[in-house]
Amino acid sequence: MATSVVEGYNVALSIGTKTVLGRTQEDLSISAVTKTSITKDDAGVQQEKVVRHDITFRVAALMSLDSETTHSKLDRDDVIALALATGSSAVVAVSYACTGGTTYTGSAIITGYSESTSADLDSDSTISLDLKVIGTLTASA
Amino acid sequence: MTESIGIKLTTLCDGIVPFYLSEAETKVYPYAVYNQTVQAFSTKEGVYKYVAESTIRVYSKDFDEAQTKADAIVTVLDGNTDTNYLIKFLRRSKECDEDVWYIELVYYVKQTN
Repeated sequence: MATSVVEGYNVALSIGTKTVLGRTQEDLSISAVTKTSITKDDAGVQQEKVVRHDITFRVAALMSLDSETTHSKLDRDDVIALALATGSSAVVAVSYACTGGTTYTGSAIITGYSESTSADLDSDSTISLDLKVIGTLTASA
Repeated sequence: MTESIGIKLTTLCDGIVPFYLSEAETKVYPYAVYNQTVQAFSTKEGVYKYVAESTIRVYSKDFDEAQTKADAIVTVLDGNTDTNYLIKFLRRSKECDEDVWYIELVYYVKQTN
């Protein structure tokens, strides 16, 4: 089969070199920022030009703690530490990989972090993380 | 992670009354039969929990015996201390069909390891 549907578990956002523990969803959003112009040569039809992109990621995960010494994933406390960073420490490397597809890398800052916990038996405690890419993403092999 | 809610219930109820999945393998009363619907929940790393609604029916020719056995099951399930399994009582009912009493117990069971 020449085409294939990408399963969600084959897509992963790494912050630094690690993914977030307990990931249930990762979203990428690319929005074009445009500039409108018109000259007399345009004969009254406005022109749109893309000047840059606003690129954001959102990661949703179960609120998890990693007690293993290898600590190969970012657990809840790691993510909070990243979210509370300021200045140059707040800039993180990101890598967005899709198995069999292109990996995109760049730098980002964490613009939001939230937790949700409930006494309801059926509810899992969850975290949500928002990142904004600084500049653009670069495609790599 | 392997689902083992039925095994856990069977282990907890061992010794109280003969305990069977779906269908009794005996005609001797009392006995208990359990049925359950299990749902798996996953992160991108794999299954992290199983949730079941487990229904246990205790059968006996004698109502008091059915009550006693059901009470004993409630006691062991409510007293579960294994943190890998959250067992919560949901409801209880009783019925008689052709001189056989059954007490039905319904539980919410969550397995996290």
